[in-house]
Amino acid sequence: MTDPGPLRVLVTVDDDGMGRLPDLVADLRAVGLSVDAVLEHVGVVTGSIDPAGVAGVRAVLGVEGIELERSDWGF
Amino acid sequence: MTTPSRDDGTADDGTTGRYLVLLEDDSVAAGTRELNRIAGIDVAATADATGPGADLRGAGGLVLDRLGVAVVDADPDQAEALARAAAASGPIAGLERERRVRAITAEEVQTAVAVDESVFTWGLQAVGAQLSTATGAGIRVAVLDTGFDLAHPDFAGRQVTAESFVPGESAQDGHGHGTHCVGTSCGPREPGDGPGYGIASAAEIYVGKVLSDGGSGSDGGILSGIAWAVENGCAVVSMSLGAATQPGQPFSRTFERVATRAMAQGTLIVAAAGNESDRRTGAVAPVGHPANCPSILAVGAVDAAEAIAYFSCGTVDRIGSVDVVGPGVDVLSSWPMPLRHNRISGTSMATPHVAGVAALIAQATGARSWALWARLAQSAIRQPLPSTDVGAGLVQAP
Repeated sequence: MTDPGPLRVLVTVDDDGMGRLPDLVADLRAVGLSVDAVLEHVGVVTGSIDPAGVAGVRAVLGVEGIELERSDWGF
Repeated sequence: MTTPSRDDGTADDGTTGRYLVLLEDDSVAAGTRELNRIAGIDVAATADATGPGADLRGAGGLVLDRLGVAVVDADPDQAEALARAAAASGPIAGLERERRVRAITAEEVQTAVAVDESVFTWGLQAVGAQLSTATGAGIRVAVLDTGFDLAHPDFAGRQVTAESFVPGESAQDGHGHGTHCVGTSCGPREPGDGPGYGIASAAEIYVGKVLSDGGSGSDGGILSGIAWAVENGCAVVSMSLGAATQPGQPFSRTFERVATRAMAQGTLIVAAAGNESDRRTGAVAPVGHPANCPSILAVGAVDAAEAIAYFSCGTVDRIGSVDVVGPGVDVLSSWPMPLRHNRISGTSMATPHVAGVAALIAQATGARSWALWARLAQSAIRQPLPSTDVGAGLVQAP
């Protein structure tokens, strides 16, 4: 098996987390998330993470969920 | 193109020429004798078991025992005698003309119709936009797609705000799909060259480029576009894009959360149901991502005969329903110069029709978010097609 490399993920923030988004983003970086975008109006952080780090992201206070990014969009 | 004609020999008033005779309870045998006595009608078949397609010709009619109803052929004299019997006491309780009913299948009504597009596209006419005094003025509509031909002459003088969320590409449309969708939702009703094709012709246009000139994209870019539209106070987001799903596949929790948050801030997301069906072979594919999210309005496509488009995705699971339909076959709209205009098909084309109508309703009523959704669905024209294909029906301009 080859190393699949980092996973591109969507991290959804809960309502409490949206109220302290800068701190939460710092927590996400601390557990290994490489942040691409912080979408404050809709409460989503996009980025990439090693597969082993997914559980750590999910455990961050204020994280509602984590989902793999789809890149197969079209018409 | 041809116009539909009826060649089955039936009357044009929706009736078949036959009559339904309602028999009094527990009087089927007596009623059958009475039919013969007063009208000379010999009911040869007594057949609840007769299935669809049974041949009634040759017999004077048949009695449906368990329903207490006889279906009979009657000439005017016979019908008059039956009507008199129904008015009097006796085993015959009522009489009415049999109505023609249609099977509820997509194929049944897939008929080419001639449409006059000399002034307005068939799509504008189908949603009644050309009759509406609403123009979308003061309403911001975001179209998330491949961008827009920012120098298109049909949009001279229009207020257009454009942003690219595709790395390395400007908002200028290098594909055409985005320009087409902007044209349908927000283009002119009087372009000066060809028919009017735009619904919310005075809306403020927000162009978010989230798909590359090659037509591909990913969640992150689309979410960035949605967030940008919410931040800018767009009442409507039109997304003629998505990704295919498999039956039983759950919707994205992330997009659902984003949609509810957008709704809480007054932004309705309208998305294409997808083109993965092939109804010519009977295959109906489920509504795609992210239109399958409960809080995103999923749009299917109909043609000029108001039949479901063969490619239009359908409601396959308990979640992921088609909510409304719009015109999505052979749709004329703007295209990057020098072509200027182009005709294409897809739920991608139906979606900006619905987004444009949403902008008109938003302007006319002040409704936003769920109230806007409700008005779109409530005012849609109901269609004799499965709700799993068309939801509430064909949206209508206010």
